[in-house]
Amino acid sequence: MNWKVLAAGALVIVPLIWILASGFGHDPHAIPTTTIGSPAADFALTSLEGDPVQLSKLRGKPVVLNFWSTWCGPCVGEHPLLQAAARQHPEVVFLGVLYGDEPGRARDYLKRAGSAYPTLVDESQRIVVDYGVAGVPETFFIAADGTIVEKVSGGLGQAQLLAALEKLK
Amino acid sequence: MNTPLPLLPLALALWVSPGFATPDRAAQQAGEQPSAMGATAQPAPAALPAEGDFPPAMMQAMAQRDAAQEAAAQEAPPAEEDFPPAMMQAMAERDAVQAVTATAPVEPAPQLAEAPAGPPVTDRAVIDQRAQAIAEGLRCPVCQGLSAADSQAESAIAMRTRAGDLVATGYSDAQINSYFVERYGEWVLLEPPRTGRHWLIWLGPLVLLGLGALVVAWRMTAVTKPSDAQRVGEQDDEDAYERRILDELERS
Amino acid sequence: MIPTLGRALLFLGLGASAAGISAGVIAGWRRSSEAARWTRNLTYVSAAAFGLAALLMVYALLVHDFSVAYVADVGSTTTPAMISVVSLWSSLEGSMLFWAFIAAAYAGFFAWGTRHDDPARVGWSLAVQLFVLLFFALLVAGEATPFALIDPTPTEGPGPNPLLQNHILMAVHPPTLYLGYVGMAVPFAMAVAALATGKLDASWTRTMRSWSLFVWAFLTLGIVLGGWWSYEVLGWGGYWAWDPVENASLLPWLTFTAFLHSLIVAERRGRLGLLALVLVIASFLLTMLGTFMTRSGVFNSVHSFTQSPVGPVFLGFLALCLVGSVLLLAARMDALKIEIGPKPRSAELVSREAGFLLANLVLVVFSATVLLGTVYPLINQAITGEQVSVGGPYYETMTLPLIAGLLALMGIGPALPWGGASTPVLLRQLLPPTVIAIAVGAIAKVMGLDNSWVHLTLTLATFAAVVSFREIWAPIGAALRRSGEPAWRAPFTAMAASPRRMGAHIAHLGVVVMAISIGFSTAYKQEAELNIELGQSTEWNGYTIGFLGAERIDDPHRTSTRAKLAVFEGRHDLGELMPALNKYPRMSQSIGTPAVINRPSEDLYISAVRVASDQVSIRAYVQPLVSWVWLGGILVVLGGLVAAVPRLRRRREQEREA
Repeated sequence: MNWKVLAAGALVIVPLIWILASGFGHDPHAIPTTTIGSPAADFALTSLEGDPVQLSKLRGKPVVLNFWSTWCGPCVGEHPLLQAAARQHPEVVFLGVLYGDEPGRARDYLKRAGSAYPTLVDESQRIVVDYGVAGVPETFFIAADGTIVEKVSGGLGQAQLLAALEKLK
Repeated sequence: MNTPLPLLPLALALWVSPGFATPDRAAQQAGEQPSAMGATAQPAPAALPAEGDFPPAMMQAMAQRDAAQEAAAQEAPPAEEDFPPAMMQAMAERDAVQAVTATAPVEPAPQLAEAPAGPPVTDRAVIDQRAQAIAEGLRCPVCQGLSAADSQAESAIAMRTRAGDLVATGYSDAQINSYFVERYGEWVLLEPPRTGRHWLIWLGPLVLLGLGALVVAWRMTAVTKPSDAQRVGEQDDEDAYERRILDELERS
Repeated sequence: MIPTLGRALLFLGLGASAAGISAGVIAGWRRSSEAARWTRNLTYVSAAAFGLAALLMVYALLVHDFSVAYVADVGSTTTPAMISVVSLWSSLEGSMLFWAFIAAAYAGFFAWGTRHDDPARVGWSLAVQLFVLLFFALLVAGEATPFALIDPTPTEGPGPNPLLQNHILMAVHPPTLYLGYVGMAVPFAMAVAALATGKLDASWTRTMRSWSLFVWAFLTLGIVLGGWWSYEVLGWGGYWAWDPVENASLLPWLTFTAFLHSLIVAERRGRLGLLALVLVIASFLLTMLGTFMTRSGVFNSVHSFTQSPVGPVFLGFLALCLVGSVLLLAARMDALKIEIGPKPRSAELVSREAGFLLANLVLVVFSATVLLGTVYPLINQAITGEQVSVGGPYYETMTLPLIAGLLALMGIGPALPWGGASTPVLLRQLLPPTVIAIAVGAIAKVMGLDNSWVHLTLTLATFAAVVSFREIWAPIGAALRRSGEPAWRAPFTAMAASPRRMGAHIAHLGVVVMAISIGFSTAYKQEAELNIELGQSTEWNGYTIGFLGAERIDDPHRTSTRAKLAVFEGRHDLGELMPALNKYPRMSQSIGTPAVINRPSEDLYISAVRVASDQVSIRAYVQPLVSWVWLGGILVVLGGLVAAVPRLRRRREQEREA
């Protein structure tokens, strides 16, 4: 029995199996979130109706920033929830941001589906990178002092939305 | 005063529904969408009606509406109870929206917290080249394994545009990369940073190569003395072998 | 009916494999020809069972029998027949059945091919092959069996993954890759048999070599076709993304190539026999690791299947194989008698042996680097809990020097004589290729080649090419010098006389072609995003591209929106290109199919981003020399197949001696 080979083999096999096993339970496709706790990046954009909105001017009020598009299923799914929440919480500023879509299509969609708050358009999509957005829908909950207190990737559920709104208080 | 009254809800409804509100500005916004690559502008979406499209009856109605509005402006506005609930709802939403939008002039938002490392860059070719190079080192957050330069996903396009903006402002490549890392995390870089933490992946192969070369050198020299080595010269044995084969082929 | 029959066949195969393992072990332990005969027959039964099961599944897919679970998952009445057949390997369960079928078929052919060989060796080899087969057979016949019965029978299915329906290469790439990948079990089994019986001799090595070359050629073909398919189908203009599943196929290829090279030294100079065995065992273990990487869902990849309970089972099997191999090596390597070539001959530091050893070192380090890069995100997450990415830039930085080293060794190695050489001989061998290589490099520089890596690659590749041409010419020249040999027949005579040398250098030339074309196509790739309105054209990079209109084609299984583009180069009409966006009922977003014009000098590659009736938005790429990557790859495969041709003279000699 060649002990050197045995030892060398163990030295390679044990860490390898341990590392591979540690991969179970983690979703390799999950995208980690870094923006929670950091100050929300300022932006100055125009809404679909042509009205300008600047985030720094909204300091003092909590803001919900929802990135969406018309071609995204979960966005359409969470739309009524957000509309209802916007109406129920007039003290919170709700804003939508159009992601990778045409304003014309967004307007058509909102005409049909209803719109309780403005949707902003950023042609350069710079706000997408500023907020570390990887896809849609993503919703950021910004406290009155301008810090991001919660970020939800994927379609919002009712419970999730309520919990996040609590954090804004 | 009675004549314009039935028209008033119509006018208000028309005014509230966004699509009809400011056709000029909508067309303008839709028409001017400069793409990052500087290509030609896209045409306006399905056309909103322009003034010339309306039938004469509508034109007349609109003229009357305008006149009525002017007159109504001098009158007390209709009491809230007069409007149907749907109209009230729409008006409340409109008010909420107006409350949010600032009417003060907008200052451009600042770029990053820190100052740019260098002067602004104006050469379009240089900007594109540097932005492309930076994007090639960034990972597209949506697609698996593609760089932000190769991917056509919205996020990747946004990242390329953003990188270009920052280059133009004068930020250095290092600053731009750390900006992306701050927003997305270290995984957005397509290779781990060459800092001490990641020594295993950067130095591992080199160490392996070095050790291996040592082993090869040891095996080749330690066991034999030069006189023991059996040189064969210029492939003597191979040529002989081949000659034998060709001879045999000849015999067959 | 089909589900029951299918499951019955699977159980038959399972039983035959299990029994075959016992028979094989007995044959090996007791050196019994009777037991060996039993093992062979059981292997045939197993091969027949799995073969029939696979055919049955293909039949079920063709007739759209939705009572079969797998057909209900990937079948659809709207899918064309060809794609129905191909969907056998489109999803996890079917691909496992396909795997079992190929493994069983290989075992059957092996049993038949070695029927006159030493029963102990054959027994051990078949036992090992059947053991690997048994693992996959258990997965296929167990809980997640593709032959499960679905009751009540659905009337329609979702169809296979849309990305797999776009291109003919989908039919060819997985089978060739599997033929290579699954086939690695055969030389592995033979190595285990050698260790178990304690003897590695020339005839076993010859058999091992023939199998290995065949398997290696198919693995190479599978990898090259994978890149080609990715290029033609995915629309991002690239062909290799250093994706974990792609790396999984490359890892064993690298170590297996090292194995083939160490066999040469073992047969010629009696050295490196043990290294060869270690390399072939490592290659097989890497295929098991690769299977784990693909199917466990642990790795972040476009190709990988989702996480499932199968993952831990694979890990368990991988661990078992690893531990078993190390134990076997540790226990038996000292007792192993290697009698492959002449008595071990020593060699100097500057000799062909050293060249081979260095080449093996570089190949192994290459493999280790790719493995490290693939596994590192897991390591980092396990230790720090944070996520990190390892992508193209890392691999390029680390492997370019290694590839340069390999190109250099490909030239230096064959130029060095065995054992060592005096300085005059060395100069005579190395000087001409060096001079030519430097000359070519200088000319290229003068002609405007500014990228230093491409320049280095070109210089080293030329060096290796000159040496390979010289090596290919030597036997042809010898044949021509023979009196009475017609000139046209000389190459064939030479190939028949020394197939391995010819095959090896043809393969080296293939590598040279690939290296140069990969270098040029990546370094000088150009791309742009163009918007063209209906009836108008735009000029880019010497091409004029006009938008003729959009076309919508409604197939039962998908809706295609195609953009018709007229392409001119200067005034030369290159025809019509039709990049498309395909919408499948299963997916919400469209999948793009690019349109490519392949030409020897460069490819024009167009991907549709948005297609409207009045305007189209496309992404255009120009990549020089990219078609040569595929041609070079095929050349490598041809080289391997030529080298696999057994020397007829030797066989007849053996028969005469017998």
